[in-house]
Amino acid sequence: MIPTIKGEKLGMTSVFDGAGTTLAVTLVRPYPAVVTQIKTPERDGYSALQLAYGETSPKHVNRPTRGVFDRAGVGKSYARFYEVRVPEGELNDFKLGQEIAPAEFLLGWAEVDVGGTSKGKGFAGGVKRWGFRGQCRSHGDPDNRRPQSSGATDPARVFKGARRPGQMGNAKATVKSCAVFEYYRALNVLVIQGSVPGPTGVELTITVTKEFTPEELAEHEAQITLDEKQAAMLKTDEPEAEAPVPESDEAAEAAAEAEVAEKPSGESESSTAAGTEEGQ
Amino acid sequence: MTVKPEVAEYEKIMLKEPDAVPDIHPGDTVRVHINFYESPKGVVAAGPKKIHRIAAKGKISRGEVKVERVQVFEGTVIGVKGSGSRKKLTVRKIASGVGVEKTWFVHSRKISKIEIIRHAKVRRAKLGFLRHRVGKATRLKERRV
Repeated sequence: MIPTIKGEKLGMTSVFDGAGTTLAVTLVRPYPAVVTQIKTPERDGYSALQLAYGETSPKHVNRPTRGVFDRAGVGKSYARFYEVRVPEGELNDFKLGQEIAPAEFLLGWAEVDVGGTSKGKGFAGGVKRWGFRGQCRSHGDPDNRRPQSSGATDPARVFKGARRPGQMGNAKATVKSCAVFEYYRALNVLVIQGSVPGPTGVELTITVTKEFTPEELAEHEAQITLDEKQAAMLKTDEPEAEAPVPESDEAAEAAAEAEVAEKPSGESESSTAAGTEEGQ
Repeated sequence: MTVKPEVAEYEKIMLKEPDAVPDIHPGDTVRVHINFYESPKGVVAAGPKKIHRIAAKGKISRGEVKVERVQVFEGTVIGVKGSGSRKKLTVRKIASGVGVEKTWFVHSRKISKIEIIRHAKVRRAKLGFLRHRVGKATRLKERRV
C-alpha cells in the first residue's frame, strides 16, 4: 500500500441515493505503477519509492531512463516517474520491478487530497481573478472593470503581492480532504465527491488523508459487492448484451467474494437499520 | 459534451428500468409523482457535507427507504436536458395564478412515476416562450401518436 497514486480525471456525473439525494462526483482512473528504485536512509538519506507509470513504447525512452528500467528489471517502458515517501519499516514490503495495482488498497480510502493543474483562464482582470466588485455599469462609466487604485500614496511604491490582473489558472492546485464516495472495482474508478482541479483527461495526484476503520470497510465492501451483483444482473437481463470477457471474469470474482462477504454484511446492515429506528 | 465511456458505463448503474422512464418530449403534458421520504436524517444526512458510500445506502437498490407520501405535479414539459443518469426534466404549471416550474433528475429516486397525459406539436427544444404567455395563449396544439 502506498499513500499516493497518480490517476486520470475521467469526468463528472451525479449519483443518487435511496432517498433521492443527489451528489456531484468526479470519476478518476488510477494508473498502475511499477517500482523502479527503492531509496534507503543509508544510501539516500531518506526512505522512499520511485515509481514509474504511464506505459509507453520503448522507442520513446532514452538510454539513461532505459538504464533505470534495466536496473529494476522492468520489461515494459514507462513515460513518467514520481516518488512516494514510505516509512523505513515498510520498505521491505516492496521489491524492484514490483507492479503496484491500486485496486488492492483503494477500497480502504475514505478521504483524499487531490492535486492537479487547474484550467487555464488566460490573462484575467481583477474582477475575475480576485473578485473585485468593479464599478457602476451604467451612467456612462467608461471603465467599470479596471483595478483602480493599487495602494496608498505614502509608501510611494506598490507593495509586493498587490492583487493585479495577470495569468489565472493553469497552475498547480490541490483540493484537500475530498470524501471518497466509493472505489468501483468493476470499472476500476475512484469516485470522489465534488469537483477536482483541471479538465477531463488531466493527470491527478491523489494522496490519502483518512482511511476507513475495518468495520466500515467491511460494510463498504459488502455494499459494493451487492451493487456489482445487481449490475451484473442488469447486464444479463439485456437480451443482446455481450459482456466482454474481462468484465465477466470480474463479475464472477465479485460474486465469489460476495458469498464470503455476505454474512458480515447482513449482520451489519440489520444492526444499523435497527440503530436508526431506535434513534428515531 | 462528450462523455468518456467509463463515465457512461458508471452512470448505467444509476439508471432506472427502461419502462420506468417514458420517452418524454418538450410540450408533453405529464403527471410527475414525487416521493417524500420520512426522516432522511437516519439514512442520508441532509447536513454533513461528506457522504461516503457506506452512508449513502441504496444508491441503486430500491425500496430501502420508506416513502411517507407521494405528491403529484401536473404540467407542461418545457425542457429536457442532459443524458444518461444526468437527464433532467423541467415541468411548468400555473398554480393559483402563479407560474411554477420544477426540475428533477429523471433517474432520481425522488421521482416514483411519470405519466404522459398528452403530446403536443412544438417546433423547439426549450419552450421558454410559454413563460411570457397567459391563459388561452399557453395552449399547445395536440399531437396524436
